[in-house]
Amino acid sequence: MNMLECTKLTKQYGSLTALDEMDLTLESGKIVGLLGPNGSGKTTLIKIANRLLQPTSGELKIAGEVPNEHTKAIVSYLPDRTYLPEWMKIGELLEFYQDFFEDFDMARAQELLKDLAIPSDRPMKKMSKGTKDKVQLILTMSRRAKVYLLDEPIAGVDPAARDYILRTIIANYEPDALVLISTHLIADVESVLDEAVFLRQGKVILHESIDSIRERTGESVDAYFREVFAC
Amino acid sequence: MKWEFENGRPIYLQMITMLKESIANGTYPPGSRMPSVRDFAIEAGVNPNTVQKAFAELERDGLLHTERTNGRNVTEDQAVLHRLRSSLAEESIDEMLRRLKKLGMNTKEIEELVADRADKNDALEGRPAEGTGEESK
Amino acid sequence: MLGKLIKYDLKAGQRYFVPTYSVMLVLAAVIGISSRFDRNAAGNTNYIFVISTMLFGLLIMAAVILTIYLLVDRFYHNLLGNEGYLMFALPVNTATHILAKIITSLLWMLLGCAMVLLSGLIIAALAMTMDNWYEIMKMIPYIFSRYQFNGDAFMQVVQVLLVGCITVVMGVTRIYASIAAGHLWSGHRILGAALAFIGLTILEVIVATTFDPAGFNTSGVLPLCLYQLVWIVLYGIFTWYVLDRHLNLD
Repeated sequence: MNMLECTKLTKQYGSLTALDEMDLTLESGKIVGLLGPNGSGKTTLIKIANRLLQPTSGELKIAGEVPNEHTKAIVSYLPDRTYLPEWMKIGELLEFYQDFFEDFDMARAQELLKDLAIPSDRPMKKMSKGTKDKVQLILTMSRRAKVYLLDEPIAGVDPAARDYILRTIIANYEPDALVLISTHLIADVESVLDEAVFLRQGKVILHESIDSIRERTGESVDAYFREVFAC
Repeated sequence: MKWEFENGRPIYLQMITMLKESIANGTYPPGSRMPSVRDFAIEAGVNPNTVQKAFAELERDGLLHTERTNGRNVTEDQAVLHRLRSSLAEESIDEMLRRLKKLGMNTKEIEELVADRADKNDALEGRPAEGTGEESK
Repeated sequence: MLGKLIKYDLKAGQRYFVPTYSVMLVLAAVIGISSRFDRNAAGNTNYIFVISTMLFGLLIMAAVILTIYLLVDRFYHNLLGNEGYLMFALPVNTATHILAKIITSLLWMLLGCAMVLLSGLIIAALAMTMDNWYEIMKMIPYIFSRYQFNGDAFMQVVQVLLVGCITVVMGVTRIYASIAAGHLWSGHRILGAALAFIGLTILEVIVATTFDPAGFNTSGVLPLCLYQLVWIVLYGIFTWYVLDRHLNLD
């Protein structure tokens, strides 16, 4: 089914157009890469899907509904920053997620955190940036959600951690869910994706399956991306 | 931990090739249980749908079959396995013939060269393993 | 959901309040006990009593400042800072978020008052000698007979509490509305909030003096409460409107 649908979606900040009459339909059960240079509108799109921004015109729907508290219950969002309260400890964070999200899988989260070997009374502010990122990822992927929106999950992260993050995503996403990964690091992510969406200046210029791109161009999606977006 | 794939071809096709070789050379022995799609995807660092496509293709070829107990097993049908080995060998040979023909060799030259190298290869393997220096990482 | 939001807001605050109020209560005990010696001292100043009383005064001021700081910080950082990415991803509507923050602020104010009262009781309890207690025991039946602890007196206390709470909520919603207004001015959010707060305070004074310069004491409690409620509703709607329709984190 169509989990995310944009119809002529537009977002303007004063004179700056972040999204320009964007049309896009994404189905469940796919891992989709939202690929584009910085400023192409990736984060804006994801924020609108989470109701952190309102469109200037046009529509975005999650599972047929305009974003509201019901869609938030089925969307698991990983922002591209540290968003968890610094004072909270691991144990408290787990409790928090369980309190507010019905689809939170506590057992799974605890299992994944065990591998990181963080004591449950350690507060966020005493963790390194890399560990914080992993904690946030684990909490996000431990939800049995219908849509996962991951904004730059591997940016600013060393290669070993990147593998860990991608493996965690593959291993834990709910099988019929839509996973949207926004990134500009395409080479690392390509083998994990089903489909690619190229975004340029707020418009979708390509939406194709990875295999089809590779067959058609004889290149990797990363190489093709570089050609398309060459400055 | 991630497998390496080359760029121009769809990953699922490359995976099919790799799996066929693994089945042919006994890495996945006849009758053995294949890992689940998801476990395989995690191990290889790829999308589970890609693995699913590859597995489905191998099933169509008769190399894998689904058990009622929710898993996939490698076939035990010797005829099928023999056909697989043959077709993989044929691909290798065809590829080699293409390249050597490009170098300007004719069939007779190729046949002689193959026989010669095969003998040398046997002789090498006949010798007991040296142990030092011969095998490097 | 509302309850859960309040629970976590309270948790965020208790890291500060528990130590502060614990020290306050201990100081109250120290004051109470040391005050006894003050009366018996022959000309020597009782330093412990003086110092602890000074500290106590400072601590009350600190608690007031802490409460105001926390209620501003919880709103500004928790909803409109990086934590906002978490809070607004929760399956909760905007109105519930705002209501939770208002209720938490009110609870913190009440906590502060309760702690001051409790401190007073501790000081009184410890400062009295056996003779004092005896006299107070004698007084109690007298007090009961003088004041009818009937409906009237009780109602007065309730009214005072009600007006107090509504006044607090009005102040809190004014602060939130100012922060919301500041949020609209990206790049200058704190300055915008400060200016909005000053502006709203002035506006409130102008409206109050225009409509009833004599003050509301004469009209009674109910009109005063209704008047304040109107402000609260207006501030609340504005805050909701900004957070729901014009949120722009970062």
